[in-house]
Amino acid sequence: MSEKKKLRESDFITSLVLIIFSIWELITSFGMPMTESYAGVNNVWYVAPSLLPIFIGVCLFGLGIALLINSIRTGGARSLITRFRRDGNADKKISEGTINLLLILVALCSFVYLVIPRIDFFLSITNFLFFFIASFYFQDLKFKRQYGLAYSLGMLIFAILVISGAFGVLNSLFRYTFDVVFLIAILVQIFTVRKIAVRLGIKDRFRVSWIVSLATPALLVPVFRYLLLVQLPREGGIILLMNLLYYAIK
Amino acid sequence: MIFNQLMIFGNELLHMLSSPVNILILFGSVLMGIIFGALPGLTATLGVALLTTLTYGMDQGMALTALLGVYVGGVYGGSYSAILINIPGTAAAAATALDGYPLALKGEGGRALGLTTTASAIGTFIGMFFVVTLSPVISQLALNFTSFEFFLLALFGIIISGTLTSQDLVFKGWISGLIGLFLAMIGRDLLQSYPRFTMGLINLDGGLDVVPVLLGAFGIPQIIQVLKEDNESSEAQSIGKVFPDFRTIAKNIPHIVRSALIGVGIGAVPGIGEDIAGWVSYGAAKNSSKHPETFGKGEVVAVISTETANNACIGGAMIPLLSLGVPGSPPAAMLLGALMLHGVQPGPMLSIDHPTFILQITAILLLASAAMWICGIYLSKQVIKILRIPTQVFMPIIAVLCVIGSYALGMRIFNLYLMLPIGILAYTLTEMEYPIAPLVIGVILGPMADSSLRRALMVSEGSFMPIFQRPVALTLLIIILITIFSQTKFMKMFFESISKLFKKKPAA
Repeated sequence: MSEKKKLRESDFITSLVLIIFSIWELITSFGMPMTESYAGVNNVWYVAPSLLPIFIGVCLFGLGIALLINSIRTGGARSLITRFRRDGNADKKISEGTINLLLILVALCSFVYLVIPRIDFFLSITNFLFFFIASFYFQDLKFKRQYGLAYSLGMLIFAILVISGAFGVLNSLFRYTFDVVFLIAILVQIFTVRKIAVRLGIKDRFRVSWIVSLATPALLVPVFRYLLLVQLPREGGIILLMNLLYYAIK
Repeated sequence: MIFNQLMIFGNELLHMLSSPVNILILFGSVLMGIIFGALPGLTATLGVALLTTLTYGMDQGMALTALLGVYVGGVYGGSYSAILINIPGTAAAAATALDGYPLALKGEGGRALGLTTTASAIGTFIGMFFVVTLSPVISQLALNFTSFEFFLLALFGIIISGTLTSQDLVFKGWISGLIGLFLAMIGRDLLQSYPRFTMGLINLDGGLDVVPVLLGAFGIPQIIQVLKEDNESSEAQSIGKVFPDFRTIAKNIPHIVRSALIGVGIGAVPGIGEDIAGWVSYGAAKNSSKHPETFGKGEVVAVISTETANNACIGGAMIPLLSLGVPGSPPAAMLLGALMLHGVQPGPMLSIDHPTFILQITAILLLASAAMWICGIYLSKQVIKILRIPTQVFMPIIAVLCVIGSYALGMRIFNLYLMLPIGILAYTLTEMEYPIAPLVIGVILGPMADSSLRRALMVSEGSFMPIFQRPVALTLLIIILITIFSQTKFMKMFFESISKLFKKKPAA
């Protein structure tokens, strides 16, 4: 299928999303005070906080309709519906590009939403970088899939521990419980991936992966913590040790 | 008066040159910019965004030096990978690759780099000249602007940026701009403090911080795109000695002047930027050439023209930024955010609040262009080694820098929570050929558009008549309407039929 056709198909979906979004935006905007008083001030329409949002909503709605019409006229809508009916039940092979995209999203989302707020920042960066670099730098699809699955499973377990409250309970017993768990997890990853790298004959790439994963936080954390005086999101066991060392030297 | 200005300019230059720390920061930031520009997937905008966080605690002068240094270096740096591996490091260097790479294949990579370095330095210098001459003039005019003019200016910036940067349907650019405007509406409004679209989240009351939004919009999509394709890095061509071919430069002065004017002109139009300047200049050089068939096969005029234009665009983008507070390009939009963080509000009042600011910027641009030339001629071989770093290694590092950059400014984890969804939204929009520059312009200009519109209507008591009574406002409105309606099918057919009337009929 041509790129243009795929684009028109996605235009059909986005036009519907845009129309629904603009309707929501308009409903929310009309709910803002237009002529009623707010905070003791009598409103008039031209000073209302909803003035520009209504303008935006109307324009987005109109452009959404234009996009919808264009996608119908150029056959994008029909092509999408036909393809969905034809391929709806068929087994689809996931392409390497899609696997890469999923890996990137898992790595980024787990890093930002799950790990950074709860685990020592040094360990968060090391864990993220090692997984991210090794997955892509090794240039081996089978390894990428297996590592990606294992990493995702690990993050899922961590998420369950957080949601269930077990994370809080365990950390209240010993403040750095999960820092220790993550440190062990990183070491297990390094040793396991090393064995795979030796088997694949890419020891040099493994060396680059773990060195960069350690060197980057080793450089960034002191720069931000001691030079720029930025308090890091979570200062756990490793950063505590760095603080002790820094202030002892200072 | 001019003598006075020259004295102040000279003082600023001397002040900067007399501080070794300033020189170090200048060269360091230019080099960092060159590296950012050279590495495919990284952009000058991302470099400025990341440096905004690092320079937050610095003195204003030093911070400006660093930010402008990385901007100038970043725009120029794209030519390295364009010439050596046929992959432009930045969109601004895309046109450079067409003739730069064939030159490298012929063994003239060093000469090509020397030409781009010198052309870029000249372009920056000419752009700087226009900043210092035009910005005060436009600022003076803008002092007469009322809120209607500012609202229409913001709208014009979004519409023109959307129209000119959209590669697919033109209204995709407008949709992108309106999404940016919507994002700017989130938070308590400036006039009545009413919470808009905050969904009850206290963290959204203050609105969206500019730096995480820009890092998300420019950094995350690049990371996803580069790693999703997951290609092995290409082998760079060897370059031999990099030397400034002054004789060739001297022979092409008319092209340089034309390209610089194109670059400044395009830079002055809000939201467009260096990549369009490069292409337009390339097209102009090809059309004016006696041998257009040589373009695409290693024509030095092409390389000189594109690089002069994209660096002159820096100065062009600074003109509306400093005089009106409207950024002329995405890196300038990031610079606007950085300036506001340092307590400088660009706009018509800039010359009054900070009388020597424009001259300070001019001095920094001059020194940055000199530093860029020195780094380009003498350090290029070292920079080229950086091109050997695999993308699979440095892109994750960039992801970490984006994360820490978003967090460090306000020390708010919520900024990270915002940066990622905005990045994923920007990636999705980019995949569907929506331009991101209008979205960024919308986010930056949204607060100005909102408060200006409501203030204007407050003064006119709900009447839009002042728009028709004020020449600048009316002109802006007409331009906006022409820009919109000229894209409709009816108007396109109308213009086509008009142009057919003027075409000569072939002889029977």
